This record gives sequence, C-alpha cells and structure tokens, in this order.
Amino acid sequence: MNLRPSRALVRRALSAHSGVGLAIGALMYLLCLTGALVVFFEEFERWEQPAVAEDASYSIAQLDAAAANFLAAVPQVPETVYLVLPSESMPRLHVAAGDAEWFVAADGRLAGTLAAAWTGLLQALHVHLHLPYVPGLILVGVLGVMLCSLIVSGLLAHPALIRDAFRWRRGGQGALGEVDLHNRLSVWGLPFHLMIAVTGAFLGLVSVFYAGAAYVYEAGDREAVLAQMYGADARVASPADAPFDIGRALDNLAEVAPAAEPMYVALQQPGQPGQHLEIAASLPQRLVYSEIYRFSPAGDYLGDQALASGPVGRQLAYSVYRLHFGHFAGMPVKLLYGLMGLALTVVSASGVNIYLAKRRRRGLANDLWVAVVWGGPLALALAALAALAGLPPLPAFLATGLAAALGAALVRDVDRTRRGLQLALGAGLLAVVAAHALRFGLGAGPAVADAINLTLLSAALTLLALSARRLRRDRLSPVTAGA
Amino acid sequence: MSALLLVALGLNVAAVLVLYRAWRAGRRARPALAAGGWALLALAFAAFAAEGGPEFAVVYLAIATALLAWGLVGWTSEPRPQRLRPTRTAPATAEAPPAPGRTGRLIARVLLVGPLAGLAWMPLGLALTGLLPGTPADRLVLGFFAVLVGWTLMSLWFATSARLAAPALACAGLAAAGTALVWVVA
Repeated sequence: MNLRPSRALVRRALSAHSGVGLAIGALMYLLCLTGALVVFFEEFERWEQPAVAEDASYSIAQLDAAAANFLAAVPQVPETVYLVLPSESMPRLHVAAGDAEWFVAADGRLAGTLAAAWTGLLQALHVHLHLPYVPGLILVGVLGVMLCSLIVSGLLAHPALIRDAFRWRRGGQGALGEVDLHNRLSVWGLPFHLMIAVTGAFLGLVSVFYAGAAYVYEAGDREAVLAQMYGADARVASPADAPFDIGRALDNLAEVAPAAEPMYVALQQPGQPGQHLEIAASLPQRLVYSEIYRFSPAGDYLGDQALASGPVGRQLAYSVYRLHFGHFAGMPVKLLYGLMGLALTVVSASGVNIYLAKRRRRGLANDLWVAVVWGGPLALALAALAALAGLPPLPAFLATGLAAALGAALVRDVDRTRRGLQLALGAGLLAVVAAHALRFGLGAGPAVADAINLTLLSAALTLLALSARRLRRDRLSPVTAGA
Repeated sequence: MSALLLVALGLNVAAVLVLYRAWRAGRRARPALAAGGWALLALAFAAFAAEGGPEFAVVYLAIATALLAWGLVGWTSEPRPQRLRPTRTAPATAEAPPAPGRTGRLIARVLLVGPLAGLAWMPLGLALTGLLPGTPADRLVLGFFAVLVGWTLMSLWFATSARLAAPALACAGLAAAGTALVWVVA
C-alpha cells in the first residue's frame, strides 16, 4: 500500500495551505504573538504594579478581614466574593467580585486596586482580538479551527517530511532557508501546536455549542447545560446571618483532600439564605483546572463538584484551560510555552513570507505584511509605554499599527520599512525599560519585574544590533523578500 | 529537578539523537535506528508519566522533543553562501509562482467556505449529542469535538477541491441531515 500522497493532492494541499494561511495570516500572527506573551500575564501584572507588597503566605484573620472590608466597600453585596490566595506566580492575596478587585494588606485592609492596563490589553487581544467579547471570542475560536486546518494541510503538502526532517539550509539568497525553517518548526512542533489549536478552538467556540444544545434540548436554559457539563450549583440550607468560618473550611479541606492546593475561596451568596463557602484547589498530577470543594458557612464539608472525578467529558472539558495556558509546574513550563508560542509566531510570519517570495512581482501586500510583522510588536511596545505613562494603551496600539501600515504603504520599500520598524521596536523597548525605571525605580519591585526589564533590554539591544548588521548587509546585497 | 525528570530528559535526548542518526544513516541501518528512536521516545514518555502523571507527560514529551529537534536542526544547519543578485526580482523556489489574481481568489474561497463548513457541522454535532451513549457531559464533549474535527476536514476539502460544487453539495446535505436529526432527536 502506498501512503505517499499523489502529486495532485500535494499541489492542492499546498494551495489550500496557502489560501488559509493568507486569509488569516495577520490575525493568526497577532494571536500567536499575544499568546506567547500572555502566558506570562501574571508576571506582567506584577511588572506593571511592582510596588504592591508580596507575600506567599496568608493568615485566616487576614482572609476574614479582607472579606469583611470588601463587603463594606462595595456598593452592592455581590453574588460571589473571591479571595484569591497568593501563589508562586502571583504572591499577592487579592479579593474580587465582578469588575472590583483589590489587593489585601497583611492586616486584611484593602490595599489598592489592580491597575495593569497593558496586560489587560494583551489578554483582550488574545482572547477576543479586542472586539466585542462574544463575537471576538467566536472569531478566535474559528481561527483555532483554521489553524487545525493549516496544520493538516501543511502535513499533506509536505511529502518530503522524513527526507527533510533535520535539514535547514540557512542563509544565502532566496526563500529556501525560510522554507526549511518554516517546515522544521512546523513539523517538530506539530503535536504541541495542534494541541494549542484544538484547545483554542474549544475555548472560543464551546459557548456557541452550549447555547445550541440549550436551545435544542433544554428549551433555551443555558444554565441546565452548564450544570450537566460542569456540575450544578450547590443548594445549601443555611441562614443569612451565619458567619463564615474560612479557617475551619480550610482545615477540613486539608483532611478530606490532603494533596489539594487551595487557589481561591469563594463566599457564595454572602448575607443571603443559602450562603456557603467554596474552595477551588488544584490537584497534583492532574490537568483539570481545579476541583471545587463545598462547605457550609460554619466550614462543614458538604462535598465536591466532581470536576476531577466526574464524567470523563467533564474532566476533559475542564482540562482544556491548563493545557492551553501552560499554567502548571511553575515558571519552567511557562518559559517552554512561551518558546513554543514564539516558534508558532515565526511559523505564521514565515508562511506568508514564503508565499510572497514566490510571487513574481512585489505589491502593496509585501509592504503591509512587513508592517504587520514588525509593526505588531512595536504597537505592543508603545502601548506598554502609554500604560506606564498612565495613558490608555489601546489608542497607542491602534495608532502605532495604523502608522506602521500607512508608513509601509507610502515608503513602498520592504527593506527600508523593515529596518525602520526594527529600529523603532528596539528603541521602543528601550523606552519601555527606561519609563519603567523612571516610574518605579530600579530593583525596587519583585525580581520578576527586573527579569522582564532585563529581557526587554536584551531584546532591544539584539534588535538594534541586528538592524545595524542588516543595514551593512543590505548595502552589499540590496534585495530580500520576506518580512 | 528530580532524578526521574533527569532520566526522562536523558531518554528524550537519546531518542532525538537516535532519530537523527536514523535520518543520516543509509537505507539498511535506518529502520532499526528509527525503531530504536521511537522506543526511546516511548520510554521517555513513561518516565515523564512516572514523574508528573500521564496527562502532563504528553505535553512534556511534545515540548521537549520539539525543542531538542529544533536545537539539532540549528546545530547541524548548512550555511549557504551569500551572493549578490543583480535585479530586484523575487527569489525562486521549487514551486511555480502563483498566477496573478490567484491570491485574492484563494482568500475569498477560504473566507467563504470556512464558516460554511462550521455551520454545516454544528447541527450534526448537536444531533450527535442527543444520540450518543454516555453521560450528558460526555455526549456534549464528544458532539463538540465531532464539530471541530468535521469542520477542520470539511474546510480542508473545500480548500483543496478544484471545483466547489461537490463539497458545497456535501455541506448543504450535511446541514440538512443534521437539522433533520436534531429535530427528530429533540
């Protein structure tokens, strides 16, 4: 039996691969770039607010006081109050409900609100492309499906998969080096990238499917479908005035699930009949995001939501989050996810580069693509600069992106545009580091803020050095093709 | 870093190196070396699973193998000489350059048929949710994954077909069948 795809199929698969890649290239690049960065959203939040006190430990008195202070501070008692416990990646106890979120001081006082506008922009870009939430989320889900399609068509279009498995003919003129790089990054990264694509599609589109299932099977009752999927809300017979005993609940959790690591405590329906406590905890060697343990206000254990022990489908659906975010096993896994995300970003960029290089003529598309590839990171850098200056980052992001595109369209010289944008990005990153140091001082915050500044500084210097080298090289050989 | 994780990483390194040797080897030695490489990958998976559980082992193996292979690809890359080119023509590759106007047609086709394929599969996935055995959660997840897989393959079929008629007809038929099934099941 010959498993080798026919020449015609390879040609059609290549055509399909090009079509899908070109149709979604710019959005996919932006999603991959922001995805690689957003893995570190907790670290970026700490970098944006380095002055917030950090402590990996907490006390029950601190939790009690934080809950009481929060309930006294909000104008209306919320349905749920979350006490998010300090963790290795976010050693800042904070209390939240809806849009309100405060950090908590050691004595339980509310100590400032979350103010990480740039990280918020990064998350909004990755989750819903900063469009209105639901259509944006659906669009991102569709892009996940298209990425799956790209991966499969890429596989079909690559009959020399084994023959070229370790080959990279780098440098020189022409797109061959870039083709090799694109193919090697794609082929070896395939299992991981497919996993990210499937889980991304799941996260983006599952709410549409639940809505459909609710319409078809539950007379439009979406809550009923969610209850089937993730377990129903607890019904607890408790009086409205019973005080919460968080300490007893945590003690009881340690008895019923000694290996569970609490992530947050939720006060459900505080001050109302039926109020109760929930503690979400991660479990060792499990990908499920958490198990949710339920307690009476007095801290008596009532049972769990069976997220980690219920039907396989529920466990699978609840495992998608960690798998997509890379939030397990601490910083080493985050760094690996960041690297893999950057590799997918390079694959996205090089794919379009290869297509553009194959065309006999150069058009506006070549110029605009350079603006996307180098203007995107520049827009993110200048948005961070705006956020550090206390300005909203979105206008800075959009204005920079637009300026990059307009500049590229006016200059109509791919090499000059690329060089200019690379230089601007290097300078922009330097400015971000300088602005951060000016605003917060050097070495004043957590070590992670210094690490981010050092990384940005290294990236800036590398870019500037590469730009200078490229300038010298382009004087010798004035033509290159891609972005 | 635990000893078991070091063992897993060591096995993973060995697996990628043996696969590289297989790639470099002649036709006679290649199958044995390739089999050895895959066996070492399986052992690395077992060690990762013993260290962090089987759910994480898949992720660790996927990432570690990719990074090791990329490292090897970079290490053994073949530099090609720089040379000046006299004109501003785009570089040539093995495939023929796309015909003028083809880019627009390709993009239009994908933007049209991608969502269509999804719309065709959604009713079928919902119908499957009602028909499949298992708990409601299992059926919902299976139905949804069927949509994702079907959508991916259908959009691929659309994109690779010379003519759109056959996949469009299949798409319409699938949507009709799915809707009818949903109506019957619900």
